[in-house]
Amino acid sequence: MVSGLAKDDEKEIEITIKNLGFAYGLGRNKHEVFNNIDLLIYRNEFVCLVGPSGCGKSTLLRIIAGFVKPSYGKVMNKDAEIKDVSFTRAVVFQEDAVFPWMTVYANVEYGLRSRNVPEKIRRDKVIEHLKLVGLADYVNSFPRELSYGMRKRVDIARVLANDPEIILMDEPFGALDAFTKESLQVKLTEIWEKHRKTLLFVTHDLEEALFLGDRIALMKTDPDTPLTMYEVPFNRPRKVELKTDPIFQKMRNNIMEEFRAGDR
Amino acid sequence: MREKVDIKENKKVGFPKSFIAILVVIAVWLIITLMKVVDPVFIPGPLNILDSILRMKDILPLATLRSLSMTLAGFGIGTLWGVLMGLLMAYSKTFMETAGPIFDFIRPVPIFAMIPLFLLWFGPNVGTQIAFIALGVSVVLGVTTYESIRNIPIVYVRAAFNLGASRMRVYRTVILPCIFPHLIGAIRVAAAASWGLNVAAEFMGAQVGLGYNMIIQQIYLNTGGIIVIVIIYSIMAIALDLTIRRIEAYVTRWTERAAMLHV
Repeated sequence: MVSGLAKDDEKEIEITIKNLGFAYGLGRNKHEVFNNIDLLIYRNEFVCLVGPSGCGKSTLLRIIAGFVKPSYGKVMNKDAEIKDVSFTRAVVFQEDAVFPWMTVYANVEYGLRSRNVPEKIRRDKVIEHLKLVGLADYVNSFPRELSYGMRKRVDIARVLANDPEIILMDEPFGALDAFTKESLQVKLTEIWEKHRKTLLFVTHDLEEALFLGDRIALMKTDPDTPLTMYEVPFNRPRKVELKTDPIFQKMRNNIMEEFRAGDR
Repeated sequence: MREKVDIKENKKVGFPKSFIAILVVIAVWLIITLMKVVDPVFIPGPLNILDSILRMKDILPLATLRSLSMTLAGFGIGTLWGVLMGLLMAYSKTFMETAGPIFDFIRPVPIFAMIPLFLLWFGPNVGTQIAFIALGVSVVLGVTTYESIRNIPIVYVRAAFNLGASRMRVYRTVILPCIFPHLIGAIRVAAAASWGLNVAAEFMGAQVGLGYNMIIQQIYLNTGGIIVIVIIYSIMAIALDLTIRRIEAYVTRWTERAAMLHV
């Protein structure tokens, strides 16, 4: 267990969150979501932010994405303060964000087209990433013809095709059934192990976080409790069998135990 | 991998069913008129109708063309203007704060109450009549556009910005297609209303057109002639509605909403 700001000198820092706070409402209606949050995210690292519903983890992700301004403190991307939305920090939302009025192809192409990438490169990128998520046969389908899990894969392909530096995932698999969820976790692990990127994954599912992440940041409901960091020791490539491994289960129980003890 | 799921079901309205109702109405009409139950001044019989058509055959084509082109022009201009105003209200806060109160003031005014003022200000010419139809249509579409934009799921807009789209591009590629299914109802209502607006506009002192000829028929108590004109209006209104639905079916082929009917 180490604090959020304990720095590893060998790694390049991608995101620095220092002394960050967020509250909404004013005066007596003021509601503090979190105070004095510190977190370092290294380049090409997979960090999972875990916590119960309403603890502010999605808010923290939205601040990093640039959708929401913090009440105080700063988020730095390398040396630049994050002030606005940018395609370099791509978000995969919990809701279904795939545009239903566009075909799968047009959806994946959307970011590239928005940035005026030439047609030839666009085509290659779209096909490449649809293959990556296993949807190359659905190029001309409309999202309504796909299952929810497939649409999530379109969303992931759309984000990856746009070449972001950082990927922010906000409980992307939260609304999925257990089977689809697991197959997407495996798919995401495979993709990430092949094409490493800095990835922040928000979830309330501790097992999911342990399976996917290099490090876990645990957030509690109490706004004044700092993040607790855990190193996830499992080697890559990770296979689905890992979930039933006794060490995996033991680690899950330990974190859960600690969470219960601190979260009253 | 799951198979492709096709949710869309093509339910066609059964023709026989919709025909039965019409046939019954025609049968009742024939019985009433042929048995002379009511005075033909109120409900004229088939011979009377035929006679009216023959008497008006020289003026009807031009009158129909004139009313059709005027209505389509007013409806088209009004739709574009209304949607444009709605989009501008959503796009620019300054525009909403300056022009919004004016729209709020105009909207509740009964459009037909404006006829005398229109005549006084702009005179009884085609431009005035088209403007009158366009105003009536644009009021409906302006409000609907603005309200539809407010109801767009925020996640689509956020996702588009997040992928690097400019504000203009978000409006063109996200907001417009997203509001279209909501607009179509208002467009159809406005299209139907624009025929009524056309009749009223021609009452304002046109010298040709179906509405104008309707008044002539009324003066001579020629109920058959009025009914013929009403039927022509109905056919044009139905044709316009069908055209809009055709376009709608193509433009909104991505939606799932057909599935929610008759559940």
